Amino acid sequence: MTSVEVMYCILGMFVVSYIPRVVPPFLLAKRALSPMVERWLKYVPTSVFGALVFSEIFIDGNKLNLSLGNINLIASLIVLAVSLKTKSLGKSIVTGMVVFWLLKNVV
Amino acid sequence: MMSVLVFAGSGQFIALSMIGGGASISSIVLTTFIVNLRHTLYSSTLTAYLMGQSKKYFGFFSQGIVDETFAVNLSEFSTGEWDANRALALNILAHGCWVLSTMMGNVAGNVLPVDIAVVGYTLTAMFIGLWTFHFDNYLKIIIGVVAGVLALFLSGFLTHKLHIVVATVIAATLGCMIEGGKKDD
Repeated sequence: MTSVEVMYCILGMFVVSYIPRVVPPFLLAKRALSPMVERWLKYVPTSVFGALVFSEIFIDGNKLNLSLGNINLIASLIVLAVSLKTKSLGKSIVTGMVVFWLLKNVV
Repeated sequence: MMSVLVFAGSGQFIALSMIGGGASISSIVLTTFIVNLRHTLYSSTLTAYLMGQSKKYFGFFSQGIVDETFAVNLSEFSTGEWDANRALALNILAHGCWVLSTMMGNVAGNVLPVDIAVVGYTLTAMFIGLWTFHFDNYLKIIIGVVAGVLALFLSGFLTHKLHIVVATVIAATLGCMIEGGKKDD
């Protein structure tokens, strides 16, 4: 992507992130969202992170890497455990970096 | 630059990883739209406490709505000791910190020698962390895993990382249907 394309991309992102935030106060001032939409939105974050995490771990270039020797997978299981236990984003990321570096350079 | 205009936290990190992965502009914008749709929910909820404010107020206030500011504003509003000006100040302050730390990160990134593979993994670790924050019931965990498996499956057919968007939409719809089905019983 060229820097001009990145600019367009950011502008596009600005438009689509600003509109959903600013429209409700003007439009649905007193009405609540329909329960159906609200329920759907509840499942968006977990879905998007699930899709991203699996892709980051198992897709290597253009092919799937489902082997147990996949260092992304080993590091991620440790990060998952740390994150569930500590509920701390900082600790999870630092652990992930250290474990990943060790797996890549030492083991 | 992205931090000033977009202010979306996870949406921005997702976009960065997609840009790095060679995704098309349209798929990045579409993903951002879907990921940030939840702000509509926040914005409509907070509006209930902000009746009678001017259009200009909402114009500024809305840009500062993210997961964190929503959580703080809602809990402060519901306990009573809070008003529209403080809510706006909180949003602007949070946005300011975000922009400042982006700039600091940029400078540090240029100065410090870092192993690019480790940096790449940081993003994965962060996604895992952010993901676990949404694990408040089993259905959400299952739906997340379903989305992950779907994404891997779809990545064989869809280019430009569109598999992320499609997997998200399908899995969220599934979660919504399962929850709806349980309520009807």
